[in-house]
Amino acid sequence: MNQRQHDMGGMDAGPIESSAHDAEPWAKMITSLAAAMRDDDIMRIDELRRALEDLPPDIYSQDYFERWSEAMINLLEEKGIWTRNEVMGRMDAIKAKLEG
Amino acid sequence: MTMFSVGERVRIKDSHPPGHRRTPFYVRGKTGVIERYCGDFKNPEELAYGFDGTPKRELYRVRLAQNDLWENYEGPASDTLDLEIYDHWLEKVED
Amino acid sequence: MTTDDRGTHSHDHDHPGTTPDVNETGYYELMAEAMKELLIEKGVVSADDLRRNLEFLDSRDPVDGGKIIARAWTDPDFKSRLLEDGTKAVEEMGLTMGDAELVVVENTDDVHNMIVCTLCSCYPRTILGLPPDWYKSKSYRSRAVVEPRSVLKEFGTELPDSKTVRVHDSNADMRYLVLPQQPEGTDGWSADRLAEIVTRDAMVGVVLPQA
Repeated sequence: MNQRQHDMGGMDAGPIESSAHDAEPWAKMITSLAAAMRDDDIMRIDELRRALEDLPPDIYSQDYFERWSEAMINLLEEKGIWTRNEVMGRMDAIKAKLEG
Repeated sequence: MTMFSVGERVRIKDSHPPGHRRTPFYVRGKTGVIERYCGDFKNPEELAYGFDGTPKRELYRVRLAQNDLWENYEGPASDTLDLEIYDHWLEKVED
Repeated sequence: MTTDDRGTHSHDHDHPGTTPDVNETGYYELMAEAMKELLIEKGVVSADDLRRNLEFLDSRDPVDGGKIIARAWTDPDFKSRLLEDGTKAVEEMGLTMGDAELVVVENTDDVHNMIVCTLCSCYPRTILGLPPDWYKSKSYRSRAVVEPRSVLKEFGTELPDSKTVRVHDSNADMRYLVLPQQPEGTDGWSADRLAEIVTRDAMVGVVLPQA
């Protein structure tokens, strides 16, 4: 009955950094993909939260949209929509194209 | 008729089941007062695993005194914390 | 950088521009692009749906929240409706809550409200847009419930002990908006002018609006 990583109320933590910082375009893309899948009941917010909570601690502690991306890959793999390898492969292909 | 009424004292279950839960660790086992009934909602603890979330659960806002939540709370005794708890996490408190 | 050397991904990289340049394109940007391409190719998400959602997200701005607050300050009937049923009241202003419901909590001479979500980062996004980074941070999520007055001080908000601090943990189906007190010296201001002094942080309850 330990307090889980996402369940943060009362944990020790440092000062709040309140610098403003707009979401980057890729972060908005991730948010919008999640919203579109939510509208169609392909991926529910509760499922995504569960996938977030189950991430390894080093990934969970990353940036908010980074962990969203990781959790979405895992959840959609669980649902049989893709495999992580498939996403990684596509990333390499996009990168190769950018490198021209 | 809802299971609990506004103003009623309730205890949040001191239970630690695995899985996706919407009752934060820091309020489990604590006692507070029903602030309002929010309506019936699909159970997120079921939705999180692909089930349909029915039967719907009654959702309440529960108000707790900060002094009951934390030892040596920094503020005055009047400070409170409100949060939402589904009916299956609530127990009646015998006066 | 190959896609499996996540360890080398730097979190304090410069913000990339909109033109993709491989040296500037971070690991997670590539990942988002790959996810988008695959989801569209597989027919899971349509390009139209994605565009609609992106446009909606880009249209969200805390300014809309400010308009709600300013109207509540200048229209007592609207204020009653807003406190009674926030979801329905904001619909009058063309704003929607999506799957969640809106609870508006009113600051008074005796009570100050502040909002946090300790479990994830629930926030009234359909009104205010994406939450600020600090709202999603471990520091805020951990500390707002246990030492709200210290947290408020870090935002420059010092409240007397005679005022009750009421923290709302936004942990389930409700989303919250704080209705601040109208600041002194703003009597007779128009709703438009008042809306301009209502900041996002005032609606989360970590600062007070200033005239």
